Amino acid sequence: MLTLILRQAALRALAAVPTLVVVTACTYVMLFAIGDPAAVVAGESATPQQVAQVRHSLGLDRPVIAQYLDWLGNAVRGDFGASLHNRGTVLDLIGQYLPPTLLLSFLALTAAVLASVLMGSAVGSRPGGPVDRGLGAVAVLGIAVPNFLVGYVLILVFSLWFRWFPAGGYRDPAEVGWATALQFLTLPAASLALGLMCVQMRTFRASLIKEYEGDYVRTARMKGVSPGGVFFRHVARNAAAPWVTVIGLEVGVLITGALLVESVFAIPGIGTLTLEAVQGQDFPVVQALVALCALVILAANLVTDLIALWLNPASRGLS
Amino acid sequence: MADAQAVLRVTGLTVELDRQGGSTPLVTDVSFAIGRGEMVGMVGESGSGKSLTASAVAGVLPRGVRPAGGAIEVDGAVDGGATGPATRRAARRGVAMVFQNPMTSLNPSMRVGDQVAEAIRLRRPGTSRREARRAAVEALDRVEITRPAERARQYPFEFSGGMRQRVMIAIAIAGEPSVLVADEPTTALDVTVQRGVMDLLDRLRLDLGLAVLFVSHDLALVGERCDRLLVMYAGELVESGVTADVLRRPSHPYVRALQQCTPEHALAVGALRPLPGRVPQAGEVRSGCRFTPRCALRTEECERDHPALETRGSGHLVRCHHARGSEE
Repeated sequence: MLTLILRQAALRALAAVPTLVVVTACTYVMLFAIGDPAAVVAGESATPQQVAQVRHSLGLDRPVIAQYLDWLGNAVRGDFGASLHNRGTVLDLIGQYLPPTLLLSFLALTAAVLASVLMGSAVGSRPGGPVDRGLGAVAVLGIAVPNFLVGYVLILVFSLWFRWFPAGGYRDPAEVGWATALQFLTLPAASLALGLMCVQMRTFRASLIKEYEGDYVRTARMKGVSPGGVFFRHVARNAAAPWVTVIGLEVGVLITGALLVESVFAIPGIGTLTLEAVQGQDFPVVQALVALCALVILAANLVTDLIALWLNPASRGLS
Repeated sequence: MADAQAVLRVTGLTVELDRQGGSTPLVTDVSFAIGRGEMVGMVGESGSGKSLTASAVAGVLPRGVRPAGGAIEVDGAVDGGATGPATRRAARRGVAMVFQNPMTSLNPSMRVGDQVAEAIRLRRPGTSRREARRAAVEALDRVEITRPAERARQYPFEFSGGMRQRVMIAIAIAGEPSVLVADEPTTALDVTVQRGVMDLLDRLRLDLGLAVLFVSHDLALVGERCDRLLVMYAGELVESGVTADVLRRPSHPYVRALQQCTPEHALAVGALRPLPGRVPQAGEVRSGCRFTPRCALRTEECERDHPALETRGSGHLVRCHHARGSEE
């Protein structure tokens, strides 16, 4: 079974390569269509002659395809070029802005997963009760309200009224310690987690209810399995597959969500870097960030597919 | 049947559906007994309450449905039926059940051997994992699954319908029950596979001395395999007795009508006689005989008085005002 899953992993990783190429190629062409890197580098006061000179010296007058292939060749070797605004190499820049986003996403996703498992199993095993209806209403609200609005409400309530948490900013845990760093991360992580949690909870609840109706649950009861045993040994695993798939899809939501939440809470993360790079037409940075996002989403899908494969033996025979 | 040695004795079993503002009876006052090594058939249309009776005996009634009265006695141990976690008690009491749909009755993500081993460990709590696994392979061998050690490591999707039903039977007998409830165990299988599964049930009941309650809507199959026969209609027993007696001299007009709409009967007389109407739904039970609207013999008495289950000869019980008159 392990070899089968490893083989699947290798196959899907291979299949992800064309996707990555297409995504980065499209981004490259689109960036050229909407702006002119030579003009950015030459500066606002440059004459058309100077711009043309810069364009030639950077090789930007060559066909787009040739330039893209150059970029791809360098990228494969780990060289994503340098910022057009003299902010250092693209990799250094990303390395500098990545930790806050990683921390924020990890906290938000973990919180959402734990909360959704707990609440989903509480209501999925006993649907229709007052707790179920209450959490159902919360979930609809949590799914419908955008996370930046949730962020502002949390700031209003927990930092302006109660003064429990800071209203924004980011502290490096290596410098100020985890206690302080987490204080700064709590509200942004919560506003990011709420939407994710609600979708996950509803998914897990729905698949639990469906699984509880399965004939095999009756078989387990017939054997004399306790209600806890029915949940943990039989129902939970079968109900987990759709939920895991949703978590995988949410990684994409997490990236766009982080962009908004970071700007609400003034966190110097990947979202902030993306905004700056797009506004400043810093093409190499934008290009690398898009490639990074695509890579993260593909990796998340790969991992969830493999988990689903492990959860559902019948699907192992396919594909 | 030697009634004194009954392994399973059901007395006045009533099953109700809980609803807001009251409850609806689904099974009313059902009594029967099954002896060691005996197979008793229970027949009736869909909605007659036969599956609910079976589920109540095995303690696996669906959510919202509960035993509201009567007693289920296994090996002399009485179970009031109305209170407590009836499910687990049923298993401990020694009742196992095989269900209608073998395709969905096994956990799809659990190895077949582990599903059998789980039943063994629940029956004998001290058993080690390894010991239970070995016993599971033995149980699979007992239900005539070839290469049982290898098959035990496979998942249900790797088994055909007939093989899955054999696994279900292995799970059922792994709990060392004295009563086996088989709820249409072969309905979802094709005819050749059906024969194999029925032969297996027959052999196991004789080898292990199981008391088997065999629920089916197939009169011919029940006639071929069962010692005695219970006929359900609208949640109550309408006729019961030794299979040969009941099928050769059916006393209740419902049983006669059932016989006349079987292919066997159609071949014999050249015409299929469908039974008009349908089984009354839960809650629409009338004051008189429940079969009245569909009955060819109905009289005012049938509309007015609910007939009692009365004895006609040795062990032959009938619930009909006109049972005597219908005798040839």
